Amino acid sequence: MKTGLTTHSLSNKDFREQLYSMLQQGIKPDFIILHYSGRYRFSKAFGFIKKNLRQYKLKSISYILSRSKGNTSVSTYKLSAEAEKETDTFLSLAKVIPANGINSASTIALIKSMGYAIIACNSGKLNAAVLNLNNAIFLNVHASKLPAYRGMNNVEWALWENQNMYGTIHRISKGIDEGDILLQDKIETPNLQTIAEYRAYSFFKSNALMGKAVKGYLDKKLSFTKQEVSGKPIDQYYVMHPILKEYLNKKISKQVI
Amino acid sequence: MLTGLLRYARNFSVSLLFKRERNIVLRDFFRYSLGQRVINNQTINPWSDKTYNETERSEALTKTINWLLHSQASMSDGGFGSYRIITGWTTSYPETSGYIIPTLLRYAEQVQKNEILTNAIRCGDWLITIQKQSGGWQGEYMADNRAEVVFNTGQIIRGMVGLYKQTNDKKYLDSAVKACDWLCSIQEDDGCWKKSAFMGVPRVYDSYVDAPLLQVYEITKNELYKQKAVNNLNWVIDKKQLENGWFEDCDNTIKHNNKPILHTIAYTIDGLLESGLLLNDKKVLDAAIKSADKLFELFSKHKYLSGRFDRNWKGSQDIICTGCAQISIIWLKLYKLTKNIQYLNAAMKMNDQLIFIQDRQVSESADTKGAMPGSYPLWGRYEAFNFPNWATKYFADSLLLEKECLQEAITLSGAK
Repeated sequence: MKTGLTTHSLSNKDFREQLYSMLQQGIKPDFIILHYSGRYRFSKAFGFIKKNLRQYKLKSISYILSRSKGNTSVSTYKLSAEAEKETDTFLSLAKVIPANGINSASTIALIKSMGYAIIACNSGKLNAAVLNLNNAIFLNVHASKLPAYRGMNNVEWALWENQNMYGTIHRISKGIDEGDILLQDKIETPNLQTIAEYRAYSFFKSNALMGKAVKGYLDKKLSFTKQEVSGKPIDQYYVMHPILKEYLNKKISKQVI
Repeated sequence: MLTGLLRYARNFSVSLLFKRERNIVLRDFFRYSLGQRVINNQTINPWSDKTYNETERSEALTKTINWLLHSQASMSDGGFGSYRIITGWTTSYPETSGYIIPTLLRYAEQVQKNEILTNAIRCGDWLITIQKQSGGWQGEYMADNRAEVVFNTGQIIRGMVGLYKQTNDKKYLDSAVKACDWLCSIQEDDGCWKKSAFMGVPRVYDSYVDAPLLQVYEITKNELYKQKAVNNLNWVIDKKQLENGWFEDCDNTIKHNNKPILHTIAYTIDGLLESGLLLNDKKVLDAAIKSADKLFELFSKHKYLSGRFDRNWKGSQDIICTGCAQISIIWLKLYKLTKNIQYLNAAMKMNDQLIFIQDRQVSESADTKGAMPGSYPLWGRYEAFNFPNWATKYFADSLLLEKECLQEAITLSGAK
């Protein structure tokens, strides 16, 4: 079985952390699908990619946005310089396949041509046509416990309800965070100062589970477990209202958790 | 259709003649019509992501109550009227005056403003004077001089019960008992109300009459009141509620009964919910939750609720502010019942939208400042160009209950 990842940017933080976790487990992904390839091709035309993949990162919109938001936590919980270097080295040799949108017919044909594959997906919502491909398993990182915290702002809601942090690797399915679980680990969390820090820490630790999950699956030590979900919209979580977030931040700053 | 067009043309032209009214209409025109953007084939509405902090919420509540008090002060009796941009103040509306009383009582308690009790008492005393010989109260506005109507009577009972509990004055209870006796005497064998019903046809939103009947039962222990309420609830749930939570015979018109307004859908759900809580009856509560959850799903998906819904919950027409506030109240009550924080979260987002609608940010007279319009935009089909007092009443209720629920939630979470 092949292994792969999808991403819209090689500088995407989650993608790089997941890739590094796979490398740590001795897994060298067979392919990386870089979709929304217009930007990639544009950059390639100017020779940026060949010269220096890291330079491509500096140009990426997501990187600029994350900087402009002043998200300091991003810089706190990130791969070490050595890890980044190892990731870059792998990327410089990896089979990076430019593709159109992840749900486009050409990308679907591309994935079909890969044969059986388990793919760490960083590509947003997948359409039924992609999910119905019977040669591919798409994995998602969910920085919370499932099925308890399906949906949005799950780190915030878990903190609000005084629950432990978890990281989950699950199969992507039609429903929101309803797919079968491959790996779910409790994340030991130190006392942090802000919601943003908890989020960054939780996602950083959850991304690091990807390698373990894929390795476990390939070695037949891990298998998928079905989630028991009601499917009712009221049983999932939504974007937290700013007033609740404000109280949550106060609670965190008091270290009440 | 032609009459409707002429009415709209008149409303638009008259409202544009006067500066303050023109400001309100133009404000809605700019923020509604020009504020919408279409991104990826999805309409993004400016009201769907605006949020307000606690101070702004308190200010919104104060403005809301001030407008209600101004409405009462504008009437010659003790009731509450509505303001129409074209024709000015209406006469008092007995039904809504009745259910504004509990709003004032709750506000007085929450903000410790006892002087507001006198406003509630003044209204209650006036309502007793206009109670019909039968025990019922007239429908619609005073100037309409209608016969007694089941639904309207039920809502005034709410006010009487509230005042009795507050003052312990037996005249309010006597009035409520007289009204309940009348309601019981005219109920049909199958549990619905047809005689003295609005339009003379049975409607499911009479579940909102069952709750006050049960409130009086709790005080008097008259089993008949409980039995009649249960009969009606069973009729609504067993005969009129579909599997997907939608209700047949739910609109306050004959013509559009296939797609009732959110306002009457909310009456029906709230009636079931209140009654289910009073009876501690799972069947009734589940019926309320089924419909409330469907609307929660639609709100989560579209970020707003339409004015009308057909039997497949397909929405149409502009936002009906009253209905939105009522649904917010239902979710808040469900938060209290289930402690599921998503109900509170959704209600707060709904209230954000309502504050956005109330906060017109133009110079206004006391006749409109703080008032909630019937529809958003102002020229929407429901109560076009009007500020019905019930829209503002439910908005106030929603903000009051939200405050309670928020305190409860932050205490439970340990965030206090």
